[in-house]
Amino acid sequence: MGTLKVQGLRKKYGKTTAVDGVDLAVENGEFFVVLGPSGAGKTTTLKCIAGLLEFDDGWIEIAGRNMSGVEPYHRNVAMAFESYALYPQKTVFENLASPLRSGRTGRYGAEERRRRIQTVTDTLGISHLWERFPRELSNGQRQRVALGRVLVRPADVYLLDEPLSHLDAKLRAAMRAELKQLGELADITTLYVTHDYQEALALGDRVAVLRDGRIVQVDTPEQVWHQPVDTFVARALGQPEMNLLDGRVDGGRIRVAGGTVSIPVPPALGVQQRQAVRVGLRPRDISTGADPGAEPPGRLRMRGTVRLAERLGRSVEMSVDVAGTPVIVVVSSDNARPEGDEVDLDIALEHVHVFAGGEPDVDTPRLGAAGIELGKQA
Amino acid sequence: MSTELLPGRRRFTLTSVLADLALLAWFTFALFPILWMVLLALKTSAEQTSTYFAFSPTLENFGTVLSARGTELTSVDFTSTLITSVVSCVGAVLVSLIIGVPAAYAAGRWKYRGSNDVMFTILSFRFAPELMVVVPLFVIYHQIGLFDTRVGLIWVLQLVTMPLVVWILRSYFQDLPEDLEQAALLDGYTRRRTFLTVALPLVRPGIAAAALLAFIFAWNNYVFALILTGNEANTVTVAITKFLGGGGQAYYNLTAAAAVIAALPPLILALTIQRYLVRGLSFGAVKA
Amino acid sequence: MTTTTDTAVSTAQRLVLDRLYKTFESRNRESFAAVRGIDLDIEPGEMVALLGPSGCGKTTTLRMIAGLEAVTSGDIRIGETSVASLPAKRRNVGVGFESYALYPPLSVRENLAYGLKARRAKNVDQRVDSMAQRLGMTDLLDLRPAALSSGQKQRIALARALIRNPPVLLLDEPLSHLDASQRQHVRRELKVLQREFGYTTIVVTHDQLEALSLADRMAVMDAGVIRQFGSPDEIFDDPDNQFVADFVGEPKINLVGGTVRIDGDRTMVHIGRAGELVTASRIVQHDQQVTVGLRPQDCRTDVSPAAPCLEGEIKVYENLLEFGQATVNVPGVDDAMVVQTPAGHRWTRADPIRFTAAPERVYLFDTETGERLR
Repeated sequence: MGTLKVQGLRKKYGKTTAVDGVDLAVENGEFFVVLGPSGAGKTTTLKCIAGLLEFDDGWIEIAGRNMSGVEPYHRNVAMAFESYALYPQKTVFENLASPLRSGRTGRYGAEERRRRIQTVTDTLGISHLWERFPRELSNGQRQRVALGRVLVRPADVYLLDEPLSHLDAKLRAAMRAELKQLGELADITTLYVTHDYQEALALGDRVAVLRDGRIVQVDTPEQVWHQPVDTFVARALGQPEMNLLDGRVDGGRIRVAGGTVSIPVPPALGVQQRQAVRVGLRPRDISTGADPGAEPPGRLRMRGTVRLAERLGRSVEMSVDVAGTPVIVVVSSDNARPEGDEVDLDIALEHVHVFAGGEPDVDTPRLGAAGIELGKQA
Repeated sequence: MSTELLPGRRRFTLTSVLADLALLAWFTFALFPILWMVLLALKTSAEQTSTYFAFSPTLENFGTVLSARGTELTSVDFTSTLITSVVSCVGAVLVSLIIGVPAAYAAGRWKYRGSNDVMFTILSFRFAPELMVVVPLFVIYHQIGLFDTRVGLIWVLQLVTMPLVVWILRSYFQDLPEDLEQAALLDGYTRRRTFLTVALPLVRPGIAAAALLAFIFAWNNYVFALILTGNEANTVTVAITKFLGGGGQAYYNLTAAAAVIAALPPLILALTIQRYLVRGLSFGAVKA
Repeated sequence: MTTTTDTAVSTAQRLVLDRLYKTFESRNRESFAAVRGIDLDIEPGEMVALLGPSGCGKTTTLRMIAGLEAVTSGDIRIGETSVASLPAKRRNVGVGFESYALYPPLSVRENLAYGLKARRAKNVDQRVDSMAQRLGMTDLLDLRPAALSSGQKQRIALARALIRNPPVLLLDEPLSHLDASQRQHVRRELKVLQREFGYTTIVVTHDQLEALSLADRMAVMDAGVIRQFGSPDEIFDDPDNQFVADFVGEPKINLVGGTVRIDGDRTMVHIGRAGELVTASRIVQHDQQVTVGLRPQDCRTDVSPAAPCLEGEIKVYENLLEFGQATVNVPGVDDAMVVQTPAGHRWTRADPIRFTAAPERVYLFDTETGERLR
């Protein structure tokens, strides 16, 4: 177990900058998740920490030890690769024994080795696969073996690179729960990299959102979810993405959807008259079936027509046309409306996010602590 | 009806028949010299210039080539040239594997300033016509005493085989997922042990394929063996031609018999490691 | 000859598959029956999804419709015409392949025109222009495939399938190459386009979410046969058998053993050591052993004290903020059950939890055949 500090990490491949000044501080025993789309520099960061890549600038410290010039096999770091990287010519048992045989993760007798492997494979439910070769395993089993090879050995820091990404959706959800359990049971310092926001929310003690090699926000899952610092973070979490409606401040209210819908401007927001803003509404925060009529305090009401209704399992994703502006709403199929119906939408003001206005494809920062302020004012 | 048929049905159209015929013609043309060589090797001296396919076959020629009678005709002991060929080719392949495998690994894994130039230089040994370099080599070999020795042959054949081995194996190493070696590094193994225990076993099919090709190239080499050896370290390729007779009669049937014998070792080798060659071709399927 | 008549949608046609079989004969191996008697009647203009795991025969079915695979027995009719013995190019079926299959050296315009020129069609340029306009990609026409994003490529592959105005459109895994957020946009777009153009469309997919969201009706296939054919609502809310219930829905449905107890006019099912749920099933007998299917999304945790429910202990709780997902150990049940919990309530490991579901959402299946007991 140990802490991990990364400061000002920079790495270029030719002319493209993969990592552009990343700072991280992972506490002892913390499960820290780095969330970002592909190409954001997640794997590069991990490999720099593991010593597998040379970087251009910055400084890495593991368990209080400066890692510059330290070979990977002297870093006491374990890593699970996205590709699993199981040795194809070795059985599952031999794969797991590999880190215990090197002599650099501690000295183990044959008995002790066997015992450790037994413990780990029992936890992961792969004890019956000891004699199999990687090619004889399913993807889910390979993934467990890869995790096993990481967990079987002591290490200061465990690095996990998208360990669930190659699994199908159902298996991924099940494995995520297992990982969560493992993380709770074993108090180990983990840096976990993923592009899946649900993994980040479910597993992380803290989440760092990475974009184009830079960290945009580091916070607890609740904070990242409720207080995204900009529209990039807001869109990165949630599927379907957060609705972003362009609006303008007008007479103490923010007006969107051609002025038909408005919310009061919270005092602490610091916006000026006529300023362009974006209002963010998460599809699942919006509900249907509100009484048409007066808007109760603390809530936002909108009326629209269902243009498209798509079944997503239990829930239904509706594209609702509110005065010409499409709003995506996700509700349970019991509350869904057929296409062509008029529908009254309702959302609590505390769930409304306000961002600065901007060009369509440019991300803009959050204004004030809008959600909470809006809720309080009501 | 339409000429386009549903998939899965055999089609007999004019074009497909013509294509088959063309293929057959090509095969005949390509394989005919080999057939002719085998037939010639079975003919007696009296029939050796006839072009009839009907004759009374005999194995006598093979006996002649391998016996003292053969040595008498050519002043070279064919059996000992066979041994020389085997020793020098195996030696050349071994040398190029011992040096070439690590070189190929380094070339496949690391990019550094000028790494492509180095690889190109290695390949360029194959560009130069052998006749161009053989004269200076002749002089040097004479001066340092490598002329007409098996060690000298190994050394010069290695020039032929090394570029092959390095270039073939480099692509095998490049196809290996780097993650495997990185995993081994994090398991606590040094770079040398990672190479020996992870990378090397996985390119075994590639090594087999490269070794076979290298052996065949070395075995078939004629110019170096002709000029850099005298009577002591002649190779089979040189020995075969002696049956064509420098002074007296040309023994075509004996030449053919010698050629058939000389073709056997590479053939046997190819058949024995065929299993690895096939696995080498389907290497991608082994990926973890 | 005007552009409008030329690019107008040809009338969508009904597509009928009549006891369709496909057996692959192989010289050294046993013959393999990939498709074993498929009947489908697809309305003109309808979008139907063929959903199933890999190897279920869905792609083979598609290839038979397209004419890329010979039919072993049975018939395919487009409109009134039987096409089973026609070669691919005379079937007038538009096909969008899994890979984009765009010719890299050609520009988008040339890619779109290629199929038309091969058929010596007239007004090629006009048709390409008007198709590009309808799909909103006029600005892409002069680019080469390499310069396009995957979403754009997908759209162009679609345009190429559409440009011949086929009465039937076949799409093989149209969204599988896109990343999650693109997939959503393209999916919505595809659905809107299909509505607008009105083609009879078959989409082959292995992704249950894609099938549910795209299709008017969907066929769930397994081992060469259709296990259920119906609207997404029917498939999800009223599965015919355990296979369909298990394959459709994410997170996966909980399947646990249970014993039926008839209590007056209520049917109860006893689960594990002490759990009990009310079910809407009627055609079961007292003491019958059944498999109970309970979707995590259908679980409710607001159970009144005396109501029948399942009780357990939280093994893992994941707070996904939109909702929570609890993995629960229920005494007497072998595998842990997954329960979706409402947002806002937080649980920790070893907390007790009680949950139940609406009776019509507690599905019973025959333990032997897997057929639904309604």
